[in-house]
Amino acid sequence: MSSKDLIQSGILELYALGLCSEEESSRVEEALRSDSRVRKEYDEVCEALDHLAIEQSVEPPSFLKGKLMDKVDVLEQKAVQAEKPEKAEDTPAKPLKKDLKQEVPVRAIGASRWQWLAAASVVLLMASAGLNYNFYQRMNSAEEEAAVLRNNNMLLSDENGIIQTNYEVMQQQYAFLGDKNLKAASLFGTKAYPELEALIFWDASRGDVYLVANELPALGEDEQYQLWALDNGIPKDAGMVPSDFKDGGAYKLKNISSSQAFAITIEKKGGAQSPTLEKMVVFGNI
Amino acid sequence: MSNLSTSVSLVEQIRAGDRQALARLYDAYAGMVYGVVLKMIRNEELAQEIVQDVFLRVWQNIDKYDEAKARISTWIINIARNRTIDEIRSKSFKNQQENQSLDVSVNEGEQGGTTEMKVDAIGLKSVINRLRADQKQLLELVYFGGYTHEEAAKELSIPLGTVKTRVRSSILELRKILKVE
Repeated sequence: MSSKDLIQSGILELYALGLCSEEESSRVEEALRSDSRVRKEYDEVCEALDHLAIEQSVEPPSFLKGKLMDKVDVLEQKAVQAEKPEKAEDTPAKPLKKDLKQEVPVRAIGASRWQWLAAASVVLLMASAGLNYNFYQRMNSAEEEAAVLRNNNMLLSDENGIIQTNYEVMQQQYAFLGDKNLKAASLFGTKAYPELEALIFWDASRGDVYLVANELPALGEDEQYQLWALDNGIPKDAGMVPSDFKDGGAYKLKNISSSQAFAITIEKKGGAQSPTLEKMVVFGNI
Repeated sequence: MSNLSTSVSLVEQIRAGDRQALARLYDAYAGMVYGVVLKMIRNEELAQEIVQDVFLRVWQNIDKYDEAKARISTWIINIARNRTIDEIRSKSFKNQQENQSLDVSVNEGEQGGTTEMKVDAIGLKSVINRLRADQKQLLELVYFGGYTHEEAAKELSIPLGTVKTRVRSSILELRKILKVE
């Protein structure tokens, strides 16, 4: 991945927010080390995020600082104690009161064998508990991930089914395109309906007529499109376009053996004996 | 406060075990840490505990801090956010939230009026409020809410890919606003 791609992928932002997987993190860290452009971009991301935090500032109560510094002192004392175990052995009778409360595992100096064993087993138990907890967490997150993946998989498979069905329908609808004797004609919108358009495929030898409804708006409940074939100026009913027609769908209508032009009118549901000329929407010669 | 050379020398002093240096670092960043934690957890007592904990961790882990990797403010905020997220996800915190009815928490907010008001007063002019609503919502979730991007996608009912691109676009927008200022 080039540095530009990496920057644009948004992964730096996720890394700055601590939302990257280990693998992603190491990729980002590698790029941060080796690429100054990535580095600069990342610094700016961090600066913007820091700004979010800085402007949230609320002064904590003043006693808090004292409490913190006390805790630091306690920590430091512990560290000093831990560094001088030899001395502790010399003066085992005088431990500081504070330490008694704070310390448990460190002062095993001069202890008997069973005390050592007890201490060791406690440490082992704690380590094992920690490890268990860690594994448990990891298992949980793995399970969650698996659930998300399963879900995605199901969605994909659903979508795939829908696409497959649509494809089969289209294939059936357009199977006639293999017909060698097929003639095609565009039917264009009349003056009153300039936006509309439809396509006619006609096999004169067999009489098959197919209509492709590519620019026909949906009609009201009680209306329907009707196709007419004009043979020597006389309109013949060429069939009704199904009420539930779909945009771009192809429909086989009535057989017509002789025609020089086709037209579509809007008629009452079920169709009319003769076309309502003022409701003629598209027309085209073969 | 974010003067770079001051931060670097402070870090050096803390590494050398200088407690006064930690106190100065606290003076510089405690407000920021307390504000962020308070926004995330909305409980003053817990937030104060966490602030102490964050600076103790800074003290104990300063050797792990790498100037080349992050600014000290970024490092500290991330410690604070992670510590608070752990708290939010802990059992005891969840139990406490469940036991606390909505009424009680509203009343508490009124009692602790001073801090709440401060937060709001700052909130009004903050940059995050100048983002588009969808960008603001997402950043609030992932930055202050401790949401992972998967959780955010679920919460907002948008695809994971959209979360990723929207995180980036929100931060880009933030940067633009900050540059103009």
